[in-house]
Amino acid sequence: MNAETRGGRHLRTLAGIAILGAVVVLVGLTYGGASATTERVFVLFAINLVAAIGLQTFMGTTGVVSFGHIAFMGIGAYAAALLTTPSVLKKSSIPDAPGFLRDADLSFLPATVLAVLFTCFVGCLVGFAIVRLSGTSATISTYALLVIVGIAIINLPDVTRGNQTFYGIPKETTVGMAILFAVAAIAVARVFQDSRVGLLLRASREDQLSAAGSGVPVRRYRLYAWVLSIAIVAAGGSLYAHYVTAISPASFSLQLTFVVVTMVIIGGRGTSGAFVGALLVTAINEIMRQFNGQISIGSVETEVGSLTPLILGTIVIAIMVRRPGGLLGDREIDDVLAPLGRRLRLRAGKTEQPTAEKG
Amino acid sequence: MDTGANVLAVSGAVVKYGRITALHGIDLVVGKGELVCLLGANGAGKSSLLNAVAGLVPLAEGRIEFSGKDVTGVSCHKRNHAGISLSPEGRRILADLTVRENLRLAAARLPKGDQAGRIGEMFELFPVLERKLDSSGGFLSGGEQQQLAIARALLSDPDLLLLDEPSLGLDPINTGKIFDSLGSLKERGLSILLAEQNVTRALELADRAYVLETGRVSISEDARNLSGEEIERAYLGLATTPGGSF
Amino acid sequence: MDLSQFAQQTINALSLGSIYALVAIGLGVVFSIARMVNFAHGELLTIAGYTLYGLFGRVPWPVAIAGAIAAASAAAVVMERGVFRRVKSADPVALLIVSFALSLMIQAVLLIMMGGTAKSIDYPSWVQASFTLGGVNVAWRDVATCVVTFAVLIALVRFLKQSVVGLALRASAEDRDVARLLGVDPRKVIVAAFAISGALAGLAGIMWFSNSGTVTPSSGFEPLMKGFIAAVLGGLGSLGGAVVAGLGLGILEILLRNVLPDGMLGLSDGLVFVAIIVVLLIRPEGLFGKVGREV
Repeated sequence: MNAETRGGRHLRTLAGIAILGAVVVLVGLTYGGASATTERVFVLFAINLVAAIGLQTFMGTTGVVSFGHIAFMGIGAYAAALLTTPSVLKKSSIPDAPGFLRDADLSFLPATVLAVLFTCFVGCLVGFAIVRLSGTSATISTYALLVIVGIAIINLPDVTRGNQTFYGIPKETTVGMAILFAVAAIAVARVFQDSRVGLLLRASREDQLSAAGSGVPVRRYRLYAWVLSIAIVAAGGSLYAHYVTAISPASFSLQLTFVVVTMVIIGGRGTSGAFVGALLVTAINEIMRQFNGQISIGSVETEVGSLTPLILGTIVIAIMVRRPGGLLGDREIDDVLAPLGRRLRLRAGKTEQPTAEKG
Repeated sequence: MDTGANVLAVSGAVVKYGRITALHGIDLVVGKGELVCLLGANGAGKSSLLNAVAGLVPLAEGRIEFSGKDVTGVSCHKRNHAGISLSPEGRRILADLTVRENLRLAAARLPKGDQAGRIGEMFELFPVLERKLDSSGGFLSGGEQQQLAIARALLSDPDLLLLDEPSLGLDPINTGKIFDSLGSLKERGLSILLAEQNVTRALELADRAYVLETGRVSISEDARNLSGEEIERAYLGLATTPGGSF
Repeated sequence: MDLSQFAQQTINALSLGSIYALVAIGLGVVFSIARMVNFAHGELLTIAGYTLYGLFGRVPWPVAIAGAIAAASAAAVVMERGVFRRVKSADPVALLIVSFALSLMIQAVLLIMMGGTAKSIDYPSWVQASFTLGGVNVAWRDVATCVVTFAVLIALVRFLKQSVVGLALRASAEDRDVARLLGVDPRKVIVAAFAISGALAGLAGIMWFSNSGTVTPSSGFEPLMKGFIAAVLGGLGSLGGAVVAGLGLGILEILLRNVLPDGMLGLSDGLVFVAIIVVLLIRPEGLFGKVGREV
């Protein structure tokens, strides 16, 4: 590791957050505000980003692949939607729901906070089990969670309308909100990643036995990572629900799971990695969508859209074969730019000789 | 020594596990028909060396020559086909398979007609195996397992037999049986490289001996010329001559 | 429910359970030898289904069946040699992700090539026919499924105990290094494992689709999930465990289907998945597995 001062490290964290945040704000204000279409693309990107960063907060620090986070995105979405949807509507869409839910008429942000808290509570309960597993067992268990939550949502039709669409959610997600959530997610994730807990977790990622032996409470720290990651993902769920205004269990399925997991795997293990992954996958999705209509491959005609899983899948496999750590690996955007910064400082007037420091 | 008569020639072997270097450049030869023993304390590198010769672990540097051919890059199973057999540390009997199945698998590469005969030879060497043909490997005693491990290694009719601590965990009677069988194998002209903690018995049989200390050869001598004191010091890490000669 | 209905449902349960057992064994063989969970295993059943769709009516039905099994087996080998082998990372989760990606990709390809509408498979008429035995209506399909699965299991056990390839497979599953020391080529063993798992999947697919008679690109998902549950619960490395868990799952499913009111059907699935988490926590080698052979 870099023998930087603590101050230096904090500066790096800030720099990382600032750079990514600035990109989000700039892109959001210019591109996102340009037209209705670009607004849609940007907001979806922001939602993807929040989801990916949430997932990465767990996967990147613990090394465990989770297929279950989308379940918590769903819980966050439904919880927030239940609180913000006008009670007038709820009286007819979910007439049998408990009174306090039916009559709730909260505004977006308070509802999101409550939803996040609720989701974290649920997540914490199952987290106790999940952090006791590792490797394939953990991944399989998180997949089991996805299925279980999906079934739970379907089997509580009084509250969720079961299989049917839950509609009428107020459209509170503007470009501004999207930017806010995205930057907040970046900040929270990056601070955690660089915190003592985060660093210790990442150090023990590959070798859990020796970490536990040296007194690192791996399980407890993993639980922190788990709950925090769920909080972020739940917030993303609320953001999503208040953009599409109608959700159903099918929205939070294996398909979405694959897309978000793909983002994290392609991008890499850090916050910047999740950013790059989200950018890339959203871009590919949108590009594929632009080509409306059919395309002929040999004698077969098909919708261009159906090629998207093939492209994403090929990229995932290629990454797993050649760079299992993802495009960025463990590096952050500030790691890449640090050497540049140093050179600029030298040129700016400090006449000291460049010492043999890490470059 | 005439290198043409060597069945095994290891030069400059370096073995690394991650960042830990287990062997720091080993030079070793086994002549045709010789029984060479590898001595040294736990962790000195004996197993790493035998595993490297068998092909289980790759060399970071160096060469392994078997009967004049460079096998450094050859995969483990192909080295077995070529005539190198290892009875590994801890015996590693296939517990799920019966004695019969263990032997059948080991003999599988022989021509069909020879298999029964060769297995019969193993029964002569290790009669207990014939009595326990249908027992699962996991139910054999330590001594029986060791005999099975050696029989397994011999069934492919190797030119070089590698043995990793065959007497480990065995009582004196079983140890005796093992060394007796090694003796008769040697009489039949098999070349053997034997890693052992039981120094006395190993030196009785051996033509030459190497002593390994923390991944290096510290003594390399005719077995007769080694004094008990020299060996003791090697085990305690106080060897005198680094890399002696004969 | 009277006795004849009970007998009916028992046959259904055994038939369904046999299919789950076959899928579970297929997953277990690959897991034991290649140390990975193959999420694309379900697509092998789908491929068998589409092969039947293409062959039934054009060639004698035994040829069609052989073709479907061969296609699934070949597809499994292609998966291994084309994709899995290239993943250098020893991390089994990397292989799991790759198999997952592969699964979605194969579904996408099938969607493109065959379209999303369900294709009707022209099983020979005797499959859907039934006969009555002591007041019970028995479908030939179910009889065939149970009998064939039983026969295949016996053949598989004999193969593993008596043939050299079978011994090599068992040896590699237990201790890969020792198998290499005995001259077993690890690459060939892995290919053999995939080929066998593919053949088992093909067989399972043939039986699975004989029920609904139709196939879609995502058909393989459900039997994969069921077989996977059985494999994890029974122990991924245990042949007996896979069979017991598979049959048990079939029995449980039919039981719940008859006992629970319609609205609660998803709950049984949910409970089973909870069971998976519990088993992974407490007995990771599965209920019948050997300690040390864990996921």
